[in-house]
Amino acid sequence: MNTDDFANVPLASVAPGARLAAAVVGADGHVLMTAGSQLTEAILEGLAARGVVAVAIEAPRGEPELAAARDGARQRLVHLFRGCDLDEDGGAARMLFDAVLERRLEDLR
Amino acid sequence: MTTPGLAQIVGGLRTLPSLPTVVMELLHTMGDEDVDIDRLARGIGNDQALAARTLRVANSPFYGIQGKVDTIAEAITVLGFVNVRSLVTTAGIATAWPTSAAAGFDARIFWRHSLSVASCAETLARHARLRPETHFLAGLLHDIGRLALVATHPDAFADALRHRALNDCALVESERAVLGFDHAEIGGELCRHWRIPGSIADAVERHHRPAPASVGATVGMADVVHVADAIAHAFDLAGDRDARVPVPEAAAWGRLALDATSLRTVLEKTERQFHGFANILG
Repeated sequence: MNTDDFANVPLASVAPGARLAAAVVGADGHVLMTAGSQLTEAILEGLAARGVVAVAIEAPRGEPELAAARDGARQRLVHLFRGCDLDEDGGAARMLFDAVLERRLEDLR
Repeated sequence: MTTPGLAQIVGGLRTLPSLPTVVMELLHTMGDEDVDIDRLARGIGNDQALAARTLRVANSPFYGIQGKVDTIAEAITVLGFVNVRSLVTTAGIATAWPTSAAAGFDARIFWRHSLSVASCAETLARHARLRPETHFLAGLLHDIGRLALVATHPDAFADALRHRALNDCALVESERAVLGFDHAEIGGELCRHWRIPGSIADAVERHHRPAPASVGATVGMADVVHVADAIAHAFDLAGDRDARVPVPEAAAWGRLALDATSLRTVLEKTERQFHGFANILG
């Protein structure tokens, strides 16, 4: 794993297309996927079904990959905040949304 | 199936597995620094699985220790008793539960969320100049009533999950709709059953219902846990695909007086502590 890769990323927030920075090992100690494998929607679902909660993923390298990762991060946040009215709710939800998005985008510069 | 009442569930808490004796002792002394450290250190050292988990985190990069800590006594010398007490109670509480029987419940996601709320609550407590250790524990235990519900009445919990899937609402709302009460009430009772300090039990019980603005500007433990819960869901460290950020109550949020800069610091510190502690889960 390189120092700019992301360790312990929750599977739910990994976008299809990301690459594994380290092998995924199942509860029984067997390697489920090797480092460098590209994750598709089906693979992500398969890993979740096998009880995998978090993985290490490579930091996106090129601009198209970075743009896709930024878009994925924003979409995931919109999904997480679906119960909040970001224009109402006294401003707290908006402040929190903006702070987390800024943190996520920082990782993707 | 008959839906169980709160009294029935609280009665069933006695059937839950008990925590290791030394963990119970540490919980009872929480927030108290005038304790017999040598005796407690021996008690922790005698529980090999607990000591091993504790030392794994004590030796993680989070604490930045030069060299390796091999014994609980060394960990107390290097990290301080208060830090080791938090590590041991976390390891003891998170590993004392039987594998869940309820369909749709993932214990690892549950503990990752609990640990992220604990890490955030500790960070917020430092921001508000409150005791970090007790707020960490309140965060760790904030959803413990849900675990008790899963362990004692898995069918009732499965009903709440089905309700949530149909309505895409917060799980706490589904619990209220299906059961007539929620996990926070069960959690408060379980903390009292374990004789955990009352301020922590109250914060666990009220973390979805922090005090209104009319009570004044003093930050309460329930405020800290309530806001930490919202931040943790937003920060998405647990890995729950269906997670949903609860609307932070304006009164609790306002009492913590977070601005963009302090919130950014809270996020950074929460993430660092979470990754340091996550080793304790297995």
